[in-house]
Amino acid sequence: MAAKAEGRPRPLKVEAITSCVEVGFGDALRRLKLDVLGTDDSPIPITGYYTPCTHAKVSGLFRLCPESLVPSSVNSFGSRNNCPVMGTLINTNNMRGFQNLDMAHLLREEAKKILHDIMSGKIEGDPSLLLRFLVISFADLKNWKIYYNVAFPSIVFNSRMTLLSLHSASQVLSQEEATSLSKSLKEWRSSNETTVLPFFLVDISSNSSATIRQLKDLKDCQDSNQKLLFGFYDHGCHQDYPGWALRNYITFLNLRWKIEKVRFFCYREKRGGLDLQKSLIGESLFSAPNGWDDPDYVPEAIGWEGEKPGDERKEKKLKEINLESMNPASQDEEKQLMHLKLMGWRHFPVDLDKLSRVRCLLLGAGTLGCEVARLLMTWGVRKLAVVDGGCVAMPDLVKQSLYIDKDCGVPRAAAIVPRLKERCPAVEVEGIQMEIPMPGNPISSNKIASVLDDCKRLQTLVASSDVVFLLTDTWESRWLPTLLCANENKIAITAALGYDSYLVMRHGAGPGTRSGAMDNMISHIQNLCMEDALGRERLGCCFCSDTASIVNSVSSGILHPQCTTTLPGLTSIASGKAVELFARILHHQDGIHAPGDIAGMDTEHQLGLLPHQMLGSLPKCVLSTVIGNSSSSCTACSNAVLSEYRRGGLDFIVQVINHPSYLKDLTGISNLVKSDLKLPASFPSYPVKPGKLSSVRCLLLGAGTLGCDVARILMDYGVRKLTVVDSGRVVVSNLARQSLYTSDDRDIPKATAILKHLEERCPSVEAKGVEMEIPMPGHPVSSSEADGVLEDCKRLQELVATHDAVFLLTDTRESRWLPTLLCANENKIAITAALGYDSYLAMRHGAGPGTNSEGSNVVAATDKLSARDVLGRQRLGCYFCNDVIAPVDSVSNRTLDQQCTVTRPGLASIASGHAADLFTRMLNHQDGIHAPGDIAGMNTERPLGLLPHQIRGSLSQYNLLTLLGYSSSNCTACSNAVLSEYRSRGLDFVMQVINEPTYLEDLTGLTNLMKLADYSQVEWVDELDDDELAEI
Amino acid sequence: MAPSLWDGTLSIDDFNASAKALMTKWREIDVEDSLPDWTWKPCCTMGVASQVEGFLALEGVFHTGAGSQTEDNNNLSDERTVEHDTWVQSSSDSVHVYDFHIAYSFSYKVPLLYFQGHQAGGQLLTIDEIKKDLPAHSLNVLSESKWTFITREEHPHLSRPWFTLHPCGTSDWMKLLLGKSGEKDLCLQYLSTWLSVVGQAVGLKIPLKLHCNS
Repeated sequence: MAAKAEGRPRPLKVEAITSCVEVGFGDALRRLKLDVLGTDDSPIPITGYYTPCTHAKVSGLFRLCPESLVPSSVNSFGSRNNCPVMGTLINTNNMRGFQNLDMAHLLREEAKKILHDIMSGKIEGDPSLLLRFLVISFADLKNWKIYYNVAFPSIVFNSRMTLLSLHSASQVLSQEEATSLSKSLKEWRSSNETTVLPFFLVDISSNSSATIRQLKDLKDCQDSNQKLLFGFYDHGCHQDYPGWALRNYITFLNLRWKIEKVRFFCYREKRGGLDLQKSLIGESLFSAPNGWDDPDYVPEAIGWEGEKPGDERKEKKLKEINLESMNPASQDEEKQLMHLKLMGWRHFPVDLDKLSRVRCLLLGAGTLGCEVARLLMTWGVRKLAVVDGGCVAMPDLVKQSLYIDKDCGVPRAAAIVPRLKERCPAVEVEGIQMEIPMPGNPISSNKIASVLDDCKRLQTLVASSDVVFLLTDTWESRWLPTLLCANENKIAITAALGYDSYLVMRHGAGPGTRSGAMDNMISHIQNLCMEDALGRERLGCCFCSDTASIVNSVSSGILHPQCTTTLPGLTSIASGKAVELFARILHHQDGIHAPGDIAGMDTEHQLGLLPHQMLGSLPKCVLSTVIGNSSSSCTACSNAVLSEYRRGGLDFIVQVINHPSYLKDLTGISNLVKSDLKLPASFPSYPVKPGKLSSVRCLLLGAGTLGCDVARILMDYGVRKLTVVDSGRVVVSNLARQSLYTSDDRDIPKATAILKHLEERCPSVEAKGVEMEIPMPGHPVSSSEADGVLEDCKRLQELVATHDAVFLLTDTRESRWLPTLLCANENKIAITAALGYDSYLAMRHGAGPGTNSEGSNVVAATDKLSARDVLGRQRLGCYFCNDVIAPVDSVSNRTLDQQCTVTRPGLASIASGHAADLFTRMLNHQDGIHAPGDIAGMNTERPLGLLPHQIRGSLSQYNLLTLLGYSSSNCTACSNAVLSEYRSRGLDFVMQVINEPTYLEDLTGLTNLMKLADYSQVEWVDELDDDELAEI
Repeated sequence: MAPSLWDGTLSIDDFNASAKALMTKWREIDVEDSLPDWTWKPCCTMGVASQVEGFLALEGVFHTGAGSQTEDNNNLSDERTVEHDTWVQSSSDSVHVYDFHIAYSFSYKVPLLYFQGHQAGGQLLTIDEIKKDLPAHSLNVLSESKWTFITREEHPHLSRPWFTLHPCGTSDWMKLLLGKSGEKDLCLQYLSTWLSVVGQAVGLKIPLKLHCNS
């Protein structure tokens, strides 16, 4: 054994260290990135665990485990076979960042740190610093993979380190020496303090007794009679080679202690003690070149794992950890919640814990109920109870987003449960079938018992919930829940729809009791304050401003006509706002007691404003926030009513139910004049011509969050011909947000999966799916891909040509470019819906340009594009008209939260509602695509109201802007320069744009514009980014 | 409790006592050189180690596949002349590392064996890869006995899925094995006896001495 080592000196060759990166480390890193680090990609200190060799035939592994990421200040993990070693982790935000890391440079920087520690004397105090390591990684949170490389930096010696001899310790040491050494090492290894120190001194005195000392105690073994060995834990098991740690050890000994000829001792173990056979004793010769001790010296370094001797600086093989081996159920749940956690990276930390614990009671499982329930799940709510008395009916399927044809005839309260579960298995839903008792609807004596039961059930339900949503379609069914919520001081949120307008509000807190009052029943009943428990003025409930009281609105038609006729997009918009309001209250420090904000106010709260009531109207394009305080004559939440309820309990309720005028007399409102209602009571005839809508052919680009909602709302409007284009497949994280898909669709292409779901809601729909990627500018393609991309361009050309309207619902800016160009060229209606984090945009693109020469041939049409449209009007802008930079690859360089743009749940519903509404307005406008853009506040005589060009809204600011922008002559998608180039060169032009990122900017003069105008571009770009588009 | 009426289960306190006995005995007897020692890991809640609850761990059991580095050092002795520094690769590619944990099952009132294997680089082994590492007699045990089948379940203290031998039947055959011993021995011997049986199923080389009374 080790025979070869005898004889001639040779360059020192050592055995490399192998890292063992445990799955648990990967998972801990994933969580750290998601929950703590966010977008921060600066290096972080980590701990690795080193061990001497313990196995006869296998070298020790350098472990990275979950404890590695625990900050060293609180990390006490470490033991004899897990010696903690300091390291650095650089975790990048994306694959490109990972690949762009300068590995050679990073390694040199680490090696420099080691040199510095040697020179400064730090090593004596903490010898494990000689083993300093480096990990670079990219945690791909979306795909549950970690890509990484590990390095154990060491300085390049250029073969100047010579091995003079190397023997098994058993050959070198005498029997006595060996016994003594073994005994001392056993002590060293059994002390918690010393066992984790991988470098040590072995001091063998002339009487053969061995002492082990720490490096810092060198002065104690300067006696010349002694044999001094420099010992270290050797991870390796080879007889011919010492382990890697020796390299930096020798460097240290030479630079710091000026020892050229080193007698070293490689400590290897067997059954927890010294393995005399395997341990090695050798001698090396090394003299550091001049300059290594210069503090600014940056050494050449080696040490990347996987580097082969001799061919370093080559491409390193990427290592990866697959985290999918984790528990599938909890993994799915985490994937569904990831978008909420990503919000915390830049915006505000979502209290997932609170959301998952809060109990929501939904009264009504119809149009609003379905949307609200689904959006609550998107927010991470996991405990739902749904109350409804009705059954699913065929005509409801297009309106009530969760139900499908199979559910017809089934009680909604029962049908909704599996529909929610198939989107999110972790949700707990309870469906309760019952009618909500209503005031002023007298009941016969034989039904009294069952109504009383219902009242009691509702009492219990409200008492056991944290938040109650009032989503029924009559006013009077909201009375009892409102009363109960005010009594129990529960958060209540009302969403109500008119024909083309909506109201979303939160009810104020219940009254507090007067201070100093006894804690007995009487004071509980009689000493109700005017203020809430915090002493603030109470906000109103949905009955507070409604002095008309609630006498059987089904016949008098206060909010709705008999059957709910509302514009289809309205439900999505109102539900989105209701759920947003919910999330805000929950994250507000005062919760239910929070005062009402008004749009335009400044707020320091991270979430933005928390209004009391929101009123919106589609035809007027307005959204207003209103504050109304609790009225002392309110029929539901006033102290008069509440004390009466507390006193009389259910008897009081029965009386209210049976005597229509009882409430009025009690509150005194019968004397008041009926005031105007908040919501308009006018019901124009349905002006949308169903025939026109059912024949229009719509092309939807993108079948994600926006695509699903828009498709559904369009069907509700009566559109029956839909083509959906998407390249993706359904994954778990889609289910919460993309309203049509269920768990059964996993891994199915969206373009296929969506068809089934459209048909099961509306059998007469003619839906087609096209699975393809939309070619994007500035994404160069290789020659092998070029044919496929060209084919896709042709397909898209054909699709646009054969449809009447195109919806741009994809998740990147650049994928909207080609469709925009094609629509402008063909003069097709194009509608864009786009999402930022909390802002959205719905816009219609302007008409394409007309031609100057009339009735000319094709060639003339190419060069003589007019600046105006065919009606001679100024063209409205397209999605790209405001941009000063051409669309290019916007994804690869971004952090994860930007890549799958994080948006607030509910935003997509709102944007989809506006987009579909915009479309139907445009279709019913006499000028169609050529219609000029309206601005909110204008008067219009058209029955459908205003037809704006762009609608921009912000959730946190509660504003809704109508904007008007004309086509820009520098536009990269719809300007005449681009269009004439496209008309003359066709797809050659498109391919050039795809392959040359700067070509579009040159063509449209943007490059020159930017050179001339020396503007601070950074701000511009940021603003654009804000509207950057969401995960589809 | 009279031994004859004993149902083959053990309490958490008995489990803890038996675990200590196993650790001691393991150190005393002559196990294979490469096998590490069993250690006790207290389970932590909110960073505080529990006084009572914990599990036994035997971590870092190496399995060297056929044709591993043990014999051929060819690649290492190959003296290549290189410009810069020289080092040799640690050839642990064919090495698999196994961890074994013994935890107490409150529902079955018996010990439960959890195990997992990973490659030297850290990537977890699948059940098929693990089966390839098992000696033939383990595979026989697994295929013939009804009580031994491997499932994948959440580790009670690490909340990650580990492989485990299903505990149903454990109490029955433990009753057969230990039913005649005195009560005091019973609890101390439990884990050693149990381990010498289940160890076979997962290829753990348990020295005969562990089971013998000392």
